[in-house]
Amino acid sequence: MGRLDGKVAMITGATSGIGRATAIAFAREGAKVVVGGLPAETKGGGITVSAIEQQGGEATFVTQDVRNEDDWRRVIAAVVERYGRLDVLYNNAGEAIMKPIEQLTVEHFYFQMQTNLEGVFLGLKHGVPAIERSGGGSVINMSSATGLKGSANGTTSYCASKGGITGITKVAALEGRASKVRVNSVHPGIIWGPGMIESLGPDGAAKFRERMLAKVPLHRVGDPTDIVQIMLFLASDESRHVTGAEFIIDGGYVIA
Amino acid sequence: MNRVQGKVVLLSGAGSDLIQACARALIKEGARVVLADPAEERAGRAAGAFDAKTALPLAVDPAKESDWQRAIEMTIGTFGRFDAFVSGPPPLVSRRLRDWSLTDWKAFEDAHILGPWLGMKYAMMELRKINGGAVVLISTTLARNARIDTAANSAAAGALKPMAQAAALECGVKADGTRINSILIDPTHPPAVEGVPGAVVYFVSNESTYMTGTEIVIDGSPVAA
Repeated sequence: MGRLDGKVAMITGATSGIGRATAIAFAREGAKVVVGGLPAETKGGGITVSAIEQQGGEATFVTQDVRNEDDWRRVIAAVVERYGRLDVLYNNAGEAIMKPIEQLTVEHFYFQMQTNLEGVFLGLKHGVPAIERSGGGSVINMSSATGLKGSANGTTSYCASKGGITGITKVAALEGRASKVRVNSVHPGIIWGPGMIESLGPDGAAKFRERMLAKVPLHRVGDPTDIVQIMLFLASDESRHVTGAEFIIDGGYVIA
Repeated sequence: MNRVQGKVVLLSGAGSDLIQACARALIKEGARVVLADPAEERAGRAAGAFDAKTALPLAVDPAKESDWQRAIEMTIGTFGRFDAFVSGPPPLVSRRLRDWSLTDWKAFEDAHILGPWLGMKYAMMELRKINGGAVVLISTTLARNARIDTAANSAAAGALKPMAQAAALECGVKADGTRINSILIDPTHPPAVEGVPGAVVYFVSNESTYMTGTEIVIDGSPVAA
């Protein structure tokens, strides 16, 4: 018996990293998983779906730009048409731009807000009604440790977008109370993923890792499995009494 | 009477009673102010309450980068110096999350997240030339103590606090002497205005030179945000 038997879960940006790891774990626990990703990430989406199918699970890839409202309408309709319901929405897709404020342009700021905050806003706006029609369920919003506390790495726009997710999550939790839609936010600290090396280069990533380790009381960087455990809890009925809460998985970064 | 003597402060959201009260408190303690509001007429009315030698009205569209650059230039051009930027709080709009159109949502974000960010950015770039500049972002407690039908305000409140801290850390890394702090108010109770002008004077003054990246919560509640 799986922890997510009978559930249908949608995960945005499940074409790599934490999103993919969570999709595979959800399917292993019995959920049917809809894997969202940008058209350019179709290959990564295919890898996620194959991994799920190889373990005997069921998954579908859908192309989606979370900034685009028409995409959200199309994707939610497709999920309900294919699987008849939606129980879990995990708003995972996000981007990070790190630049000192004097180098950060309005275009950078908009990109950050659209991808991270507006993506979650649209997910709530269009996903919650579908979950309501299924009798309730769970929305998990990917915020960040930096959605609670600033960090010194040129993150003013990133912090704004992730902090916005911290705020909107609680209001959505209150608004979902009557229809039993729970909404929570997850706040990872430094999580080691392929994106880190892609954006900083191998040397830059190693230096960044060293610098960040000094700020983490547990003195380790996390990996996607650290996040997956919380996602399973929040997606399942084990968390039926949990809403509007912040789950901080950061090795103690926020309290340090 | 002279806690901020000689300092020049740019305040946004000047059309509100709250910022008006902050301007009054700053002027009483010796500052001169530039009162910015998206509506020229509201800015004019706000400045009209004070001596023209101490208050300058300015129309600033918070989403327009060039308006903020001009605001800093006008501040220095008029008063000869610039010491602090105070950003007014996001207003409360009561609307269910799903009833927000994307267009309205973006407009709110532009005015109350992008706007404070742009103001802070250009203020920081100028303030690093002096030692002891201050940025104060007034926001709300809604990011912690949630209320129904406050999605946009709560998103803005959630955004501004870590954003201010990130900026404070950037100033700290450069050791440029600029402090950046937040004041979190309860947006639903007018009495919350009490105490806010005092906190603004404190953060602008040299009394708070060892405070940065922090917040003062003023909401009349025993439960801290």
